[in-house]
Amino acid sequence: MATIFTVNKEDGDNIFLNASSTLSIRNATDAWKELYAYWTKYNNVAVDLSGVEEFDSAGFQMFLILKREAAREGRRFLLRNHSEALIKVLDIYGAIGIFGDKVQIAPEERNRFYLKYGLNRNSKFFGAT
Amino acid sequence: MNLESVKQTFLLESEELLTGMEEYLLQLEKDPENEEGVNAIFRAVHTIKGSSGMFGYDNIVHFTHTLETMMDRLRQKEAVVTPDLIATLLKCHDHIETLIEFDTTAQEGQEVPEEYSQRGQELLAELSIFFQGSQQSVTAKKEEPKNTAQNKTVEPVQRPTNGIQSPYWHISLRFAPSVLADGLDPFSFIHYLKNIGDIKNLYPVHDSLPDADLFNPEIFYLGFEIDLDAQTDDEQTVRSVFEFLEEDATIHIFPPHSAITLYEKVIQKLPESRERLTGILMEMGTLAPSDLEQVSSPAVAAIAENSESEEPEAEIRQSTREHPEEKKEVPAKISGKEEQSKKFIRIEAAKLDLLINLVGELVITGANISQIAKRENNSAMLEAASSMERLIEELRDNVMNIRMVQIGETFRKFERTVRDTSRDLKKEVELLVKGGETELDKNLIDNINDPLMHLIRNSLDHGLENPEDREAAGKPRKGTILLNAFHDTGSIVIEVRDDGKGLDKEKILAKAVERGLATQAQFYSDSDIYHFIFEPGFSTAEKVTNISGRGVGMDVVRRNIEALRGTVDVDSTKGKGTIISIRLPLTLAIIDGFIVTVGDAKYVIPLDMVTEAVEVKDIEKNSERGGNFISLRGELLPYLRLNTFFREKNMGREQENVIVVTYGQQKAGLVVDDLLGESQTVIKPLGKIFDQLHGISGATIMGNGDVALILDIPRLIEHAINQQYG
Repeated sequence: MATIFTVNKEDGDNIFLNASSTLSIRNATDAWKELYAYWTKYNNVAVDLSGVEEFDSAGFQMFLILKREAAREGRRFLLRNHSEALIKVLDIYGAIGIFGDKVQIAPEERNRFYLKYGLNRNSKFFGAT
Repeated sequence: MNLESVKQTFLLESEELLTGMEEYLLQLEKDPENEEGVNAIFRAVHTIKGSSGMFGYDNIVHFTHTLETMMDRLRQKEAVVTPDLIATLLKCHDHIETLIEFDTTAQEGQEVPEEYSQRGQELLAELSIFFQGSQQSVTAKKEEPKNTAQNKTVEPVQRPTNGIQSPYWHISLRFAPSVLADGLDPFSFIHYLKNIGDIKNLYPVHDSLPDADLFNPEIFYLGFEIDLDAQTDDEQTVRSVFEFLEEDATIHIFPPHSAITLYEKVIQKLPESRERLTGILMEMGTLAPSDLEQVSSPAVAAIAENSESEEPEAEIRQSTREHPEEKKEVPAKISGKEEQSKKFIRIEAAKLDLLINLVGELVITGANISQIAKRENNSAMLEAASSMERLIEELRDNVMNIRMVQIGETFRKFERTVRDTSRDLKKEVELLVKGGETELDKNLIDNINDPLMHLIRNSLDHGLENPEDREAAGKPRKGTILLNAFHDTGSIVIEVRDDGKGLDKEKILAKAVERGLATQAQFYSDSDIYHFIFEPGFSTAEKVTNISGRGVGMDVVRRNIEALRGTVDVDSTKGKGTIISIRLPLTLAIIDGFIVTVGDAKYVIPLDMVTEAVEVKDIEKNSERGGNFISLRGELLPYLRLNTFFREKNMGREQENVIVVTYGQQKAGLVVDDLLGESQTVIKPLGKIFDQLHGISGATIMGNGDVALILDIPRLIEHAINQQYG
């Protein structure tokens, strides 16, 4: 089985992961297994997403559930260096604000995205259920 | 014309169309911008649909009809060509093949198996994802102009009294848990909304998302509430975006200023609580507090009650689906027919064989006439005979040419094999083709297919390494297999080259020793060792895969090729790759021959293999020095006395004629008595009882009716070389 998340750095309670090129329904089961294993082992998990080329609703859902759990338990699940494929999905799903990570988009690339809603940090989002 | 023969034509035609379709698909995978490819695929599907309809193969018509529609949309650029799309289309291609095979062989009244239609539906569903929402653009164009009042029979705008304030469309989506597993990604549908308007707001409803430890990543738990500023006021346009999702989702669409009662009713149906949903809608700005106040007023509640009976119809009203593509069909059919150019005619192979036979006879008769003319010494007749001979020669070449087929087409068929097999093996492989324009007799092509397939599979499975191993060995991740065809001294050479790990000499030799094929003590050249792989049942593979490794095959490959009067050779460098070359005679029927006499009999040497003819004195003196070779301009040349070999009379000449023949890299001299010159030779196969005959590959009838035997040069050269060492 191919490894989907590789460890970049480990620092006590925190782990920094690199995601491979695909995070989608095609490898969702394996990806979740790996990611959740890290999530149960470490208090805080950060994932570098610069290499992600294929990202879909399955990938989004996976991140959403950890974001929610992090918010509820006061832990941190951070997404870093979002690739274009990732921003595209987060953007349409109005999740950039909900996720609250820093998303860097060069000004000249802004027109490739929508960026019209869901940009404000919304601390109530996960608390309402 | 009876039905059976028409059916045969249908089969042939579809086979050709499907081959073409496959080819274009693979091309398209490499070059997604290739519009001609898309057109050709569309036409292939379209033509198959048309002819299937003529035979009443409804299942094919049904499947191809939808496929055709999708291909048409692809032509309109409503979907992007991606490898996944190609993969699905390839599966559709295979499905058509299966259906055709079933229909043409099925007994009268035999039912189409359930699994076929199911498979068809699965494929179309899989395909539909690539065209998500695209129906809309067609519909929109068609319907917007005639967007009359009847389309808005229940338009809530007409009742602004309890309509909400928001000027936007609202869409509420909840999905079947299996939506992702069914191959549909909600994201694509929502993303598509951008094409009909501006998404003003979107709220991912995650209430159904379980705790992380119970989460199944293949199930989709989320729902969406969307506000859309659409540039249309036709609900159909908005609804059609989600057309393909209808079975996998609950979709509620609210036109702008919809009645709050409508919202109320939907809110009750949704899994989330009323408080939660109104909370979400208020947060999104879909509903304003003033909108909600209306509901709490008894008057509005009463309206809500009353409208209960009519509103559901408005909500549930199924989009009366139109098939705009059906209207487009007429022009499409015409252009499809036009494309069927009349450049080719289909001829039964047997007719061609007969023609070639007749030309063969003509060659013999022509030679006869020339001989008579020579004997009579009639100059006018000689002249006529010689021009006839020239014409016959031209006729022969042209007729033979009809049978010649470029090998490229056969090569291209392997692209699919390589693509599919390498995916199965999780390897990255590129198939390169060189010399595809090289022509080869149709019979040879038909017979070379299986051996080539086997060799390619071998390369894929054993030759090429995994991408990781390749990287570790400092090679590019992607392995290459090169199919190369070229002409070489009267034969055609087909090479299968891979840049894989090469053959393991030690392992093969060890295995050969173990199997008693070789002895440890003896010295074997590399080429000898590689040749062991052609022994029956020989395999060094440690694990048997379903692709190769069972040790059946290489010996069959060799047998098949030898049956075509060809030879196989292996060359390999450890770590660099393997080259397997197949050498085949150019044609099977008529060759230019060089006639010689040995004793009293005449023999024919294929002229292409003759390098030169020399006179040599005292040949035996050389061999006394310990070898069966002569020195030709300082080069040692093994030789073979044909009169000894064939036990013909020895003429005992002092000056002897030696014909130098080449085959591939090898050369030898054949000692003969007299040289009679060139002649066209029609190869007649020898009967079965001569199967064991060494050194003879066939016979021919000379102009004067004599029979001459055709020499099997490759075997004779081999014999001459072995004799020299032995």
